[in-house]
Amino acid sequence: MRRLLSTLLLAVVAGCASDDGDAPAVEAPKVAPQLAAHTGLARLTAAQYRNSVVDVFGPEVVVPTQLEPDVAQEGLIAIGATSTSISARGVEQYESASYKIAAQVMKSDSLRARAVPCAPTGPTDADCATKLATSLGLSLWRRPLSAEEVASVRDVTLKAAAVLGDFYKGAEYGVARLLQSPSFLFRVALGALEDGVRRYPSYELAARVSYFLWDTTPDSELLGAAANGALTTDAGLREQAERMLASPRARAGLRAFVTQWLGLGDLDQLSKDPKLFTYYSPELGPAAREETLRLFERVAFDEKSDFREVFTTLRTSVNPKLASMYQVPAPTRDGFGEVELPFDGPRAGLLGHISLLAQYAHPVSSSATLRGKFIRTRLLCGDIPPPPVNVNTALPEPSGTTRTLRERVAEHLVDPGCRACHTRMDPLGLGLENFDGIGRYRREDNGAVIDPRGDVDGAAFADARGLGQALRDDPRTTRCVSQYMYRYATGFYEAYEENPTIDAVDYSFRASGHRLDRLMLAIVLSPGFRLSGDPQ
Amino acid sequence: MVRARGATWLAALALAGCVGGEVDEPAGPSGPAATDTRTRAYVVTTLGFTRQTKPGVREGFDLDGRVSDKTDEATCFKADAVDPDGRGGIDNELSGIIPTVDGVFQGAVDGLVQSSIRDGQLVLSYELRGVDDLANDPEVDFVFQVGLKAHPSLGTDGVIEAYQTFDPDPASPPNTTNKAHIKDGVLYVGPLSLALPIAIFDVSFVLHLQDAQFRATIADDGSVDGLIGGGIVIQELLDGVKQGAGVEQNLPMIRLAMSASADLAPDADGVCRQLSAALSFRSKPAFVRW
Repeated sequence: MRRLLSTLLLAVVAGCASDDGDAPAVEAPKVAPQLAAHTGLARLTAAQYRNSVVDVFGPEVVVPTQLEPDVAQEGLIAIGATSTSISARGVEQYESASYKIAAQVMKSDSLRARAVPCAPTGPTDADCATKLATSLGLSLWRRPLSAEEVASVRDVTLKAAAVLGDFYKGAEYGVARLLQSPSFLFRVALGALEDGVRRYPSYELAARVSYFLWDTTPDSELLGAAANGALTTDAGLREQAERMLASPRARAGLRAFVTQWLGLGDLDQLSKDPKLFTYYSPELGPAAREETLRLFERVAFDEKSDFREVFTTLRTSVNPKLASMYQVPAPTRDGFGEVELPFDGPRAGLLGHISLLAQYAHPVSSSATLRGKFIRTRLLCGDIPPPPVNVNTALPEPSGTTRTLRERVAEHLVDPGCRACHTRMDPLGLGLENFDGIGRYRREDNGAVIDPRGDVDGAAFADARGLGQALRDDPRTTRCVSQYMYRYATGFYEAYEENPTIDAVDYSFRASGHRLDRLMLAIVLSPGFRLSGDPQ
Repeated sequence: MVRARGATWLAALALAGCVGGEVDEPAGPSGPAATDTRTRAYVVTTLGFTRQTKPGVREGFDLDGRVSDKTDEATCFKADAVDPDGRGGIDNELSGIIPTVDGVFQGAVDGLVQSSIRDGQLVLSYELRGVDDLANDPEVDFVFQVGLKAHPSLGTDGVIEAYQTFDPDPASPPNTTNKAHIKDGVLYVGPLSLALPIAIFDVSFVLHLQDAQFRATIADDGSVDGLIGGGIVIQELLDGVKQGAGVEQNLPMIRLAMSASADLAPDADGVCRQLSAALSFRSKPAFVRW
């Protein structure tokens, strides 16, 4: 249930104006309706669970990896997190993980000193158990615990300590109690009515901001701002958001978003035929993802430059394996370093990254359809309906007359049942045909020279680099990243009525010179992020 | 000096080089400087001993410029062979010894060499500098360089992947010559003196291949495959291996076998001091980090 309020606020126009011709200088500032995004609980993703535990207890903690798996919906795990529960198996996994974490914390002097804010006078020191529940509860549940909740954790601690004859052994159970709670496993977002407006209370908003910008639990300063009510004001919220965006930890937030938006999480399970792709190795997918994430980090935080550069830049970060696949000298003997790709080479920007080229391909071949669908849906935010039931989606095998993928696709498109959708995908994907199923350059396909020419809805391109340039120049690309980040931040697929909100966010993004950090700020300050709908 | 993971006899006459086989990216740099497109670097990916394919036919080079028969005193009465393409005057007496070595080591000699290359124990690279045309170029500079030991990235086919970057071994100065040219897609180099890392009986040393020559075909996919040949100074080889475990008692036999096959560099007494040799190699594009 959405709530459209009577007043309109100016959307935040963050940052400085763009210095190129695309700046919306002549556009009137967009205003966003006071309309909340969907509201609901969001289960911590596996990464958020890990990040939160490490932030609260310390980097030495080994967080179990056997947790309820993340599920993507509408292409984003963030949306899946707001629409999934916990399975019986997941309950067992979270329970097991909680005891393993708690045991580590209480067995290590340094970890225990951080977690337990007092020196117990004996196994049943009720005062210390109360302090433990209060302080650790605030960190883990991201809000102060009620008296009943504190008592509950305290009692678990004391009962176990009495039986085991050791305060710290009892504290293991208290910590596990906190970690097993839905208040930890779910980000609670219920909202509350205030002056006739339903908005997120300070602590709910703090968690919302923190998991968006840092992909982890709020730090003490943010919790402090929540405690003193600063987050309920525009200035207070902006101050905290700016502080968080200036922190190196904001890179983790951007990385999490980019990973979901571009679908890079699956690169860990990349499957390629080793007989066809002899240069494939299990390390390739994670390394390729790292390259892409580093590009976004550089553009967003190191240089605070125009986001659209990601489509055309020749600078990228590679390790020795990626360097060899790009046929450039490795900048380092180990790890990543920056290189400049050849100015007249076939690759530039994101569409030349092995991450996307390998992810959106088949185990035995490239795929114009997968790559085209990615471009159409993830970069242009177009819709592609699923294929009709029982339709034959297989392309004809290569033959004497149809050697290249383009020729085979053309034959496939003769079928009107395929044509309607594939004409929106395949021509885009064919622009990347000079790269095989793991992203290595090739000139020919089955002995025939590849023709990568095409157009993006009328904007012609000659090859993959031209395709990148066309996407860079297409205003839909900018709007699309705004749209995806808004979905990611709110955890829901937007309602039609939220389009003006996204327009306003996008305006701020463009007005800032397409700075991604300003886009993140604009979303935090947008009504859709701050206001609460009725909980679902 | 490169110490190879040598186990036994002639375990590593290892030229480590580049791997190849895939198509070049259109404007990819190759060489010490990313902007110098006239330099092409390669790393040897496979190296093997050549063998006599049938009586009187073996791969190799005419190292002494003579077509000899068993009456030629200048070759210590060793008859030259012809190569599979019909070239005469081929000097490659080592190929006659290799079957014996194969017998002793159950045919594992080539495998030992290959293991050394795959393990990064023997890294051999070379560069072609000043290349204007990979099909025909009358003047090319050739630089042969031993690389630092480092595990290369291997493809699923077990072959070193192309376009990796290798570091030169500072203890091994480059061997350079301007006696190189490309004709009809075939690279010709030499003669030059070539310092090769050798491992015999776990003893590593550098063997100087005398009047070495290269002949290799440059393929469209960037790979360069061919032969390397030259004269092995028998005394240098014997000096290099004599401290190897278990070698000493076999040294007279080794000396005898090599001396009996020696066919180059006769001294004043008419005794040939060198043994002609040829190895086949494959190489792929690479980079050298100078």
